[in-house]
Amino acid sequence: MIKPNEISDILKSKLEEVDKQAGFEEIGTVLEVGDGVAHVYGLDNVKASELVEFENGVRGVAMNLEESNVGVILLNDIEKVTENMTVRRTGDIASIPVGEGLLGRVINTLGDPIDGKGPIEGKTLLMPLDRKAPGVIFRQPVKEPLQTGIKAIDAMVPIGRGQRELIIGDRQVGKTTIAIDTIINQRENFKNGKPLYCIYVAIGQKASSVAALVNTLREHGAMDYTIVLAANASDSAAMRYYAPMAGAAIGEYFRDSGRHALVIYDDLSKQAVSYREISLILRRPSGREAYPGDIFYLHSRLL
Amino acid sequence: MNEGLIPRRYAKALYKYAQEHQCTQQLYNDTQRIEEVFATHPSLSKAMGNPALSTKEKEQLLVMAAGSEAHKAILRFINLVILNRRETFFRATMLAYQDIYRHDNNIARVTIITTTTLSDDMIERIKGLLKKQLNKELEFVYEIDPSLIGGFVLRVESMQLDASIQNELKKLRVKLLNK
Repeated sequence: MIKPNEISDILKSKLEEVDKQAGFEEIGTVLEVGDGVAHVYGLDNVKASELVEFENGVRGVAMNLEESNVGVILLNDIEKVTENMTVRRTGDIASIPVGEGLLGRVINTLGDPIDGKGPIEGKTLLMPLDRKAPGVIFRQPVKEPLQTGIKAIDAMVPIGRGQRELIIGDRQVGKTTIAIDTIINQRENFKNGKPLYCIYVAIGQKASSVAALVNTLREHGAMDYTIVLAANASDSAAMRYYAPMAGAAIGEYFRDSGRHALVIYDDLSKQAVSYREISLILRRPSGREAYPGDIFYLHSRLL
Repeated sequence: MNEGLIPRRYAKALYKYAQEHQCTQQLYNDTQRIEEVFATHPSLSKAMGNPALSTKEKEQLLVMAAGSEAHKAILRFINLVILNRRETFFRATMLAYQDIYRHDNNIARVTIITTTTLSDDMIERIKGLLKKQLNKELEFVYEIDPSLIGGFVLRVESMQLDASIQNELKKLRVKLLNK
């Protein structure tokens, strides 16, 4: 809890941080906005998937670079962007703040906590959402198993660390249950001091199902080593689209600090639907069932 | 198909036509007027994409936007765009035409916004400075906007130098809200 007499000191330090030096920035104007996508005139030198900022602080990502305009997908506060607003380049690419404080929390795609337990504590590091994966040469061979704790899987189709595994099946057959059981069964590893950090990415699910799931994990003491990243069905398509990438970025944080992590995307077909939504609004050519042509490329980058 | 190319192609065609008929300057003024109408009436862009409106009605809207003193080339152009059903790209085409015109005539669009009226001497000095720096002819727009509170905003093409108090307050607000 912050003491009232400390507030003025905090405000003062923040005031000092504000950059008073004005510099040249590249700007553009919103020509058209709708369905979470803004078409911007200007921003001549913007780069693909660069983060841009609207004059009221709303952020977006430049997705479509065309000769006449730039298609920007809006990440938050979609309805606050209107025509003729100015947009400026930030020079950064979309990133998520990652740190130890995330463990046990429920966050959204932008890294903001949504479990009502206050801000994320501790040091955070900005990890880019869309990063190129290291090539095959740089990777270690799969040499250590990931125990799911489900005998049938561990005996018949063992999963290795560093591997990806697809869980497919009809609805209501228990795909999510396998994932949740696996997370809960990692408690033993956590107790033995060899934690396997779990990141559960919920895409396009009902907020109530996510809440129920988090409760289950908490009851079994699994939240100590788990991060839940939720982009619910009510969130914008951009948030749902970037959710698995944010999950992967958190996984990369654990990887880069020499630890093991398990990332579960539940489920990627919802993300594909969000990407289809964005692509269609951006007027990209569509293929079978109106999915864009690079949908498999998108998923291959995630896994 | 990459639809971003369409406005550019139409604009190029319009520019070439204008060059042959020696009316690039007039068309430039027309495109600026039309662009202003689009900017002040966001619903006009939406109307262009509305399938419920007939092409006739859309043409009337565009002709009205062009104004009574519009050059007849622009009216012909509106007709062509409507005929090819490319009216959704009309605004982008107008902007692309302006880009081409400015590029060809070595013109830089400069906007300066201040809170109080600057003296003519001051404006001349700014102009001279920019001209030397950019090595281009200037299309100078001077605006007065008291909502800036203080300072000034300088825009050179797509670059902006925002040294206004309003911007500083805005930055402060965003900073304080985002922990």
